[in-house]
Amino acid sequence: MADWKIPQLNQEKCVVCGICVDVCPQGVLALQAEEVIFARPQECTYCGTCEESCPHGAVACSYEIGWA
Amino acid sequence: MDIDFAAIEIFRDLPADMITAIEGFSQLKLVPPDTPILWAGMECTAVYFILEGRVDITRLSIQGREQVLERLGKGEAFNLVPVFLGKPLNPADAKTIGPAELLVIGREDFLRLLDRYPVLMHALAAYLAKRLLSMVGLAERLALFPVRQHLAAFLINQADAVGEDVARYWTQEDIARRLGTVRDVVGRTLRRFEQEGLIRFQREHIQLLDREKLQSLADGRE
Ligand code: SF4
Ligand code: SF4
Repeated sequence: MADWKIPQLNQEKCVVCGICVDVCPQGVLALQAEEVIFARPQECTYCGTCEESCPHGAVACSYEIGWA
Repeated sequence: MDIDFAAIEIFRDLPADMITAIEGFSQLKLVPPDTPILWAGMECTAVYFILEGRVDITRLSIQGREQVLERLGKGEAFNLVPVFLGKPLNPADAKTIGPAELLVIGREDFLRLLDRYPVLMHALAAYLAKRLLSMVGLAERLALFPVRQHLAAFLINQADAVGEDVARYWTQEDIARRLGTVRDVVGRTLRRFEQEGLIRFQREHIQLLDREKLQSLADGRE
């Protein structure tokens, strides 16, 4: 994961509703047992859709801010 | 009088006999650049249509700053709303930017024309609806204004501080907390900045593209 950043998932806030799994355009996320996992992290484009859709604020993308 | 009625949106599709009737009530007015045409709060005596040139509709903000509500060009109309009010007062100031050629119809005459021609009333309603929609957009921008200003300042500070001892990665939640707002608003404002070409999302990087524009936002000049 060192050079392939993926969103952070806060398991404590996550209620495993599966919304993020459904909305991810790349099919990165999956439900497994009682949790959400990044099943295909290398496909993540860091689009932020999962963060925007999570009703519980359990997913967060972080950004480095700089000049182009 | 040789007036190009087709240039004016409200009159564009009206039949010739109606245009002739409207022409009978119309006056042409040439206004030099940078000249006030209307003052807010004064009695509304006429409606105006722009044949040539541009007109700014402005209000003074509480801080005494002139806020441009709309910049209107050829074909647009202004001072239409107070025509329908019981106590008709101009809602805003209007002044020309460059030289302008205006068509002016007195309030009473305009009301009479509307009574006589339902088609004109429809054209007017369609035009006002379009203008209302653009005002809703403006209201939204104004509501977001403090966030836009603070966010622009924050982004510039962060980008300028790269390499210094600052937190490197920011979530939208972190930024929201820093600016005293909520994540959704930060997300929406960032997306808006992106649409406006001020920033670009590149995976985990937010790249600032337009220093001048961001700086003028941060300074409250926009
Ligand atoms: S949308 Fe949020 S709460 Fe629902 S499963 Fe995904 S991370 Fe968990
Ligand atoms: S950032 Fe986009 S691609 Fe990556 S997991 Fe979230 S929704 Fe999927």
